[in-house]
Amino acid sequence: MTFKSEPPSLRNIPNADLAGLERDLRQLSLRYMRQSMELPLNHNDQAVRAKLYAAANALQQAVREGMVADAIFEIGSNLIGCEQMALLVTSKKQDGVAFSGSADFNPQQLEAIRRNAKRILEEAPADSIYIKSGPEDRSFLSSLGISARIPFRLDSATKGAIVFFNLLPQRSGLDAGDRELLKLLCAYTGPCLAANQIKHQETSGWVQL
Amino acid sequence: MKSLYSAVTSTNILFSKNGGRIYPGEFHFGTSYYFGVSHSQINLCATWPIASNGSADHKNQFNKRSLNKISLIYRIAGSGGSLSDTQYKSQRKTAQQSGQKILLVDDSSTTLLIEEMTLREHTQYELVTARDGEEAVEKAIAEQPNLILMDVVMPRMNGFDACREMRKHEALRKVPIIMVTSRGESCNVEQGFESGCNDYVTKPINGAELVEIVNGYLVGQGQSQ
Repeated sequence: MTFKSEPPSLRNIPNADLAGLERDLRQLSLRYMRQSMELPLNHNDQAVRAKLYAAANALQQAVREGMVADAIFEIGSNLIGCEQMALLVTSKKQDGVAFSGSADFNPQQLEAIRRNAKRILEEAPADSIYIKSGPEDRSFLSSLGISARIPFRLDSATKGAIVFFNLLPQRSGLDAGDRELLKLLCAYTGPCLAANQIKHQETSGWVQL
Repeated sequence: MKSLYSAVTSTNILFSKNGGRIYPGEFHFGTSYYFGVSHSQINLCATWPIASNGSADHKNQFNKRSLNKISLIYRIAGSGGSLSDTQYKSQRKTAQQSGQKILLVDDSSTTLLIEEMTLREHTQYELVTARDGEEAVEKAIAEQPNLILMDVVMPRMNGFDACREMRKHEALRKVPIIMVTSRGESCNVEQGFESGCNDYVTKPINGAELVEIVNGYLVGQGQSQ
């Protein structure tokens, strides 16, 4: 594996689109905040709206500061309850996959990701969110310890995925509220990562698999 | 149907060894009462069924006689109540003590954002924030908060070390410290209690749980001051 100093190559989005992306995320964040504040605390949806607000806010800040991968890991860790996450991005030039991961992987897990990166992106089907259905889930993704795989797109084409591995012990599985967060990540990770390249400030290391 | 609410605060209740009983004469039968409780560190924030004779029984784990002050906010289903949702929210805030301060410590901006939004919207406590253990100790000494909510894994100084450091200061020895941890395993929880924390909640943060535990420590404390 060779370390790259910059994130994988996604098409740079024009500056006008970057401003639009920030505006979209800001509006989304405000909308979720209002919804969260209007609901009583004991309403099922209140916590979900609060998390969506925090996630949209984190992505907006990350686009501005050029720290998108870090923001995604923070969302996973603090809002979903998963500290083992990977970002996989397809790389046309090298016909490979670029990887950036949270700090909690052991060498065996990293090797499993390296060997199976392409298949992880292509399984179940490739353009849909996969969520492990429970202990009875015998799929390939589940066999790798994957709890969820969220594809992300740019220009209507799937460019990679966020992969959540083992959840923290207090999380027995992902629920409907988590699915809302995953949908947000599915919709915005591609454009945010592409916007990130304009800034070139990403701190998370990227590895070419 | 529009929900209507009313509120009673500072009800003194004497709990006996085997549980407590209140006789809220004007309360309506068949309603559920929502509680934020007391300096006894027993959290009653739960639905309390009201018997047909108008009394409310609560079986609890008290092992000695203790006088508890309870802020009681109750919702009346259907007609007969006197407050709108907005008034209910306002009364609920009033029922809590203003002027109390909470120090929120976390290096995660998303966690801090949710904690701040939830506590600002649903309580009246003053909020102070810190981003790591060292800053937390400095702010705790300077601000003298009534309660500290603290992350465990942080740069510069972790939550356990910050907790130990805070307990060395006389003024902070009795301040409730609640650890906000992503690790809820027993070994981590034990480590937290050994460092001097009073309680813990696990991430991801749940707003209702957060308000419940904070009020559990602060509502009674505020009334006794």
